Amino acid sequence: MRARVYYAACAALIGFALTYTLPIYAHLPRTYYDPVARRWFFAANSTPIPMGYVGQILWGIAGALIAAGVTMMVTARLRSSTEGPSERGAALGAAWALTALAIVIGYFTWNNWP
Amino acid sequence: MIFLESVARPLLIVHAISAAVLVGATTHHLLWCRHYLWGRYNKVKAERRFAAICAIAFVSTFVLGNLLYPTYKVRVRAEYFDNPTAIAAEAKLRAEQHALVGVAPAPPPAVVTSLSPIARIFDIKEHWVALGCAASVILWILSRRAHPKDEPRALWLYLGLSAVQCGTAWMGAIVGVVTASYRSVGGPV
Repeated sequence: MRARVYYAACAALIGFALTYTLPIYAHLPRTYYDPVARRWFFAANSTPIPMGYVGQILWGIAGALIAAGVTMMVTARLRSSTEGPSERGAALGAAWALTALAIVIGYFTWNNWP
Repeated sequence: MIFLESVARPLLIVHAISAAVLVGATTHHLLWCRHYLWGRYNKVKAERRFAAICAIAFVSTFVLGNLLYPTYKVRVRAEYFDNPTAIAAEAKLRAEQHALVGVAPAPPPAVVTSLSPIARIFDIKEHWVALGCAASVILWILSRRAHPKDEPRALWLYLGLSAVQCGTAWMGAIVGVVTASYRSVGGPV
């Protein structure tokens, strides 16, 4: 069980980081809130005032849940699911998850740097 | 009227208190986790409690910040930071008030046409804290279900997430205070 939780946690982090970035990188539609008109809408781009941040977070949460769910299903079949993760699996999971966070932090820092 | 603008100030105060708890708790958590590097697990119970406090504080601070965001976006960002006319008027008014109070006016500032760089740093902070919030929730789950004491191979992920959680909380707090300092102690420069 611990291995499943561990790998699902890694997958959720990677899923969140990537799908949080995806609508910005690929110009995919997301939910916007226009604070002046007080209305929600769904679009790929908008003028400066409407806020796409909430939509971007929803993308991230959806990605995290899907990645964690798929990983839980896949690892249910593994022999090691009743034990802890293997040494190599744990190292790879941590490396991928923390690198995904670092890359996405770097991406947004680079793109928004004044 | 913008969403929750009428309660923006109390919301900001609660947001600041929540952020202070968050910075304290995440720093505490990271410092306690350093003992795990040497295999010392004698404070696990308290550390797990801190992981829960960190996650609750991070989610609360994040939600409160999002509730304030419409007001910030219109009243601060659009009407001030990205508005050169407002900044020029503010600089002129401040210089007049310096003279009126009798304090020698500061030498005229370098021409500030826009505070958009501050708004962009605020944008960077938003992304950092979104990722930090996710890291905090995952860290809390690991603390309950795959703690390094029971699962030593989870140690590096655990420590890494604690560091991400702490770093993003500090970044959020510092950038938040810097942003709020404009039009107050800092003026438009």
